[in-house]
Amino acid sequence: MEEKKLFWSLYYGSRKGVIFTLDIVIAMMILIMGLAVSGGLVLKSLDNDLDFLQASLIGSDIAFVLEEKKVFDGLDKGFINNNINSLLLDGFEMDYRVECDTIVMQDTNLPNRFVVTGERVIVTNDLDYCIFRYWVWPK
Amino acid sequence: MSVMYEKGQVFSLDAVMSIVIFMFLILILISSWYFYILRLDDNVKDDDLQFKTFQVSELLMKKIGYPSNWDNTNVQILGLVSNPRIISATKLQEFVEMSESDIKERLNIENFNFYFSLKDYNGAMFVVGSDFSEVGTKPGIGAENVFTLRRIGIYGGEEVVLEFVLWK
Repeated sequence: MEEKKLFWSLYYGSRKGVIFTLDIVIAMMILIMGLAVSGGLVLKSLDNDLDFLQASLIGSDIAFVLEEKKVFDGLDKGFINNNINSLLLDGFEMDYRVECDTIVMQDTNLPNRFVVTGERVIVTNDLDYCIFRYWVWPK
Repeated sequence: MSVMYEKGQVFSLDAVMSIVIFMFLILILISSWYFYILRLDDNVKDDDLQFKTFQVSELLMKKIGYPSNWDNTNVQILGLVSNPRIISATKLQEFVEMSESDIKERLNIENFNFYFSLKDYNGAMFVVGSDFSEVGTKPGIGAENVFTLRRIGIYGGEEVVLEFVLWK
């Protein structure tokens, strides 16, 4: 017991010590980085996606109107392009591809990012069944 | 060898620092948690408004309504078209003649405000009966959540843009 009390009273110079170990620093850094990354992911997932819903609706609406106006009858690329350009709403872009038995026609220059896509089966003047594929994205 | 027994007070600097760091981390955790909760809550409300905007635009553009030849005295389910995306002049006129509160009730959007318009590709409205082809209230400066969907359809053989805005 006396020896133990001796240790209590040991005095090493006049400097006080501060415990600041590396593992605590690393643990704090990991915690803060984890919070920042998870926060970033949460906020990114909450981004407004109404633009993509609007793009999807524009695509299906335009496909319908083009067929209703019999734009696909002649399978004329220039005529189809003109009609799409006149129907496309401001702030959006659209590419397409028409696949028939023998003819494949396309005007695709897709951006390297998320785009909305859809397709519609169309019937031409010659009673060919074709697939009209489209891609729409906000500018 | 003489040993001095001094009385001491345990109050080390490292304990104080650890408490400060601990409190700092707890503060960060609580504030970030609170921030995420607020954002999620806003997002849920936005999703609801966005979904309703989509549903209404689909209903107006693709459904004939009930009864199929409805007018503003007997309408149970709204729908502006005779065939999907082909807008009926009669139904459009009945629709714009309805009161804002009746439309809200039929569309189940009583808690929100809305604005509807039908324009040609030059941005001009149509005259239907004694009204223009619009109904509702445009969102003001203080409007918090505004969701707009535009649909493309055919009216009188001409391509038109239907705009539906839902806002708080």
